[in-house]
Amino acid sequence: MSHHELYLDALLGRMVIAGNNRPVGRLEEFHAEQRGDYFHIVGFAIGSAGLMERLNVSIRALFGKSRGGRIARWDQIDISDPARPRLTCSVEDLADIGP
Amino acid sequence: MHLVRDLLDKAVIDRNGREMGRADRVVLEVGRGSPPRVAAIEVGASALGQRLGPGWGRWAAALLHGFGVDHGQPLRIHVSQILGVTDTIAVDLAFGQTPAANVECKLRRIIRVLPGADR
Amino acid sequence: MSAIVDLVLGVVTSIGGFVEVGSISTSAQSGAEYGFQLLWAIAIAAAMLALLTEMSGRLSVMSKRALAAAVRERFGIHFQVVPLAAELVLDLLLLTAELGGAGIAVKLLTGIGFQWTIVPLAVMVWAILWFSSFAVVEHGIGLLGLVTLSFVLAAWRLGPDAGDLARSFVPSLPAHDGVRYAFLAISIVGATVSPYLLNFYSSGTIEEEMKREDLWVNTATTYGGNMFGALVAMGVLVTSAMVLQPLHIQVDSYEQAALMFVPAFGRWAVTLFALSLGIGCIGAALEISLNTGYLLAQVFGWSWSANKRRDENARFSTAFTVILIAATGIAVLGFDPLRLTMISVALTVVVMPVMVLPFLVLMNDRKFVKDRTNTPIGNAILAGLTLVGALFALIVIPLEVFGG
Repeated sequence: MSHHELYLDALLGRMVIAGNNRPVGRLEEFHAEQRGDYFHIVGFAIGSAGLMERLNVSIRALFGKSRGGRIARWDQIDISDPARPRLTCSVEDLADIGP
Repeated sequence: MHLVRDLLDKAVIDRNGREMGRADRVVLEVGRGSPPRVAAIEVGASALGQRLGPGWGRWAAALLHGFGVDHGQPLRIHVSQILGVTDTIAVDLAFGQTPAANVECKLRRIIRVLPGADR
Repeated sequence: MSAIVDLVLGVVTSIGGFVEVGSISTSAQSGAEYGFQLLWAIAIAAAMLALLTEMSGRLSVMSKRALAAAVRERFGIHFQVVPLAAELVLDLLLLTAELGGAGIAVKLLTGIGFQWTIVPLAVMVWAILWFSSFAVVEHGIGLLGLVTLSFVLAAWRLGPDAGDLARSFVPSLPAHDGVRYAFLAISIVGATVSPYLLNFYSSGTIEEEMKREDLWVNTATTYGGNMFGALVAMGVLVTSAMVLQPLHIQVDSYEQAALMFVPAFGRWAVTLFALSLGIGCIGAALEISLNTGYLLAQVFGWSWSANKRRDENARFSTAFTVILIAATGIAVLGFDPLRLTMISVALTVVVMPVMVLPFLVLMNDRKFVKDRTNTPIGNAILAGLTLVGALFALIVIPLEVFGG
C-alpha cells in the first residue's frame, strides 16, 4: 500500500467542501486512536471558523459553553488535496459533535 | 487522542526527562482505503518556520545552517519512538542526539568561558 | 509554618517590588498635574494586577505549565506569534527605560551623567541573574525595595486630608485637559499591569514548586501584596500632589520628581528618592530580563530555570543576556528615560487585550485548570476592563501625541 505524506497544519483550518461545492465548515480537530505503533485518524471535527475556533474567543466559550460542530469519519472526507478537503458523503450523514 | 489538542505544539521530553523542544509539526501518512495515520512529529526551528510560511522556514534553515548547527532539517521523530502522550510527549531519544543539542553545545562552549556558568 | 513564611515573604517582596520606573513616573506626573484625582486609577490598576497574577499562579499550579507554554499549546504558534512579538518589543522598551531610570538614580547620587552608568548597571543586573538563584532575584531585591516605603512615609508626614483622599477613589472629571487626564489614567494601568509580570509570576510559581494545597498562599500573596504595594504608588501620587502641584512643577524629568521628597525628608530627600528609584528599576530590570528567557524557552520548548546551571540551560541563559545587551545598546544612545517609559506604558494598554483575552480562555479550560476555573463574573470584569482600557488607549494616545 503506497502512502504519501502531508502535514497536519496543511489541513488545520481548511474549509471542507460538500459534494454540491457548498462550504461545510473548517477542519479544527483530528480524532485519533492508537493501533499498534501508529495513531490512526478516525474522525475529523468540522467547525465554523478554524483558527477562530482554536482561538475560541467567543463569549459563549469564555462562559463555558461549547460551540457544536460536526464529525466526519475518515472515510467520509477526501484529503488527497489538503488545500481543498471534500466530503465523500452528504452533510446529513455527518455526526454532530454535541453540546 | 485529539491531535491538535494533545499532540501539536506540545512539549517533547527525552528519555531522561529533559526538554527537547515542541512538536512543531505533525507528519501524516495518507493512503487509499485506509485511515490517515500519524507517521512522525517534527521538532526544530526550521519545522516551525515552515509552518509559519515557506519563507520563514527557509530563513530558519539557512540561519541554523549558517551557524553550523545542523543541515537545516528539523528533527523528525517517528511515531514508534513516542513512548507516551500525556501533558508532554515522551520520546525514546536523548536530547544529545538532536540538532537542538548542537545549538546548546555551541552556546555552552561560549558560556563556559564566563565565571559562574557551572553554578 | 513554611506556608506562613512564604506568605509573609511573598507579600513583603510584592510591596517592595511594586513600584518601578513606570509607576513612579505616571504617579508623579498624575499628582503634579491633577492632585489626588487619579488615585482611583491606581486602585483599579492594582485590582486588575491582583486578579491577573492570582490567575497566572493558579494556572501554573494546576496545569504545571507557565503562561507562555499554555498559550502555545492551547492556541498554536500562529496565534502566539502576535503576543510574543508584542511582549518582546514592550519588554525591550521597558527594560531600556528601567536601565535609564537606574542611571538617573545614580546621577542623582553622584552627579555622573546617566549614559555613562548604563553599561556598569547592566553588567550588575546580568551578574545578579548569572550568579543568583530565583529566590535571590525575587525576594532579595524585593526586600531591598522596601526602601520605596519612603513614598508612603513622605505622604503620611505631609498630612493629606483624609476626606480629600477618600473622595479621590471615585472617578471624577478633571477641571482641565481631559485628554491628558485620560492619558495618565491609561498610563497608570499600563505601568501597573505590565505583561511581563504575568508570565514572570507564573514561571516563578513553577520555580518555587508551588503545590495545589498552597493555592491559598498564591491568592493571599497576590491580593495582599498588590493591594499593599499599591499604597506605595499612591504614596508617590499623594506626595507629588502635595509638594509639586502647589508649586506648578510639571514632572518632565526624574530630577524634578525628586523634589517631592524635600519637605518630608530635608537633606535626605535626594538620597531616598534615588535609592527608591534605583532599587525599583534594578528589580524590574532583573524580572524583565529573566522573563525574556522564560518566555522564549517556554514558547520553543527549551530547558529553563534560574535555579539550574547556566551552561545546562544555554539557550535560556543566552536569551536573557541578549535582551540585556540590546536594551543597554538602546539606553546608551541617550533616549529620555521618562519619555520612553510613557511610550511603553501607553502601548501596554493597547496590546493588553491580545494578552489578557487568551489568558481568560485558558482560565476557563478544564484541561489546564481542572476544577479551579474562573467565575463568569471574574471573566466579565477582566474582559470588560481590558477592552474598555484598550479602546480608550486607541482614542486617547493619538490625541495626546498629536495634540501636544
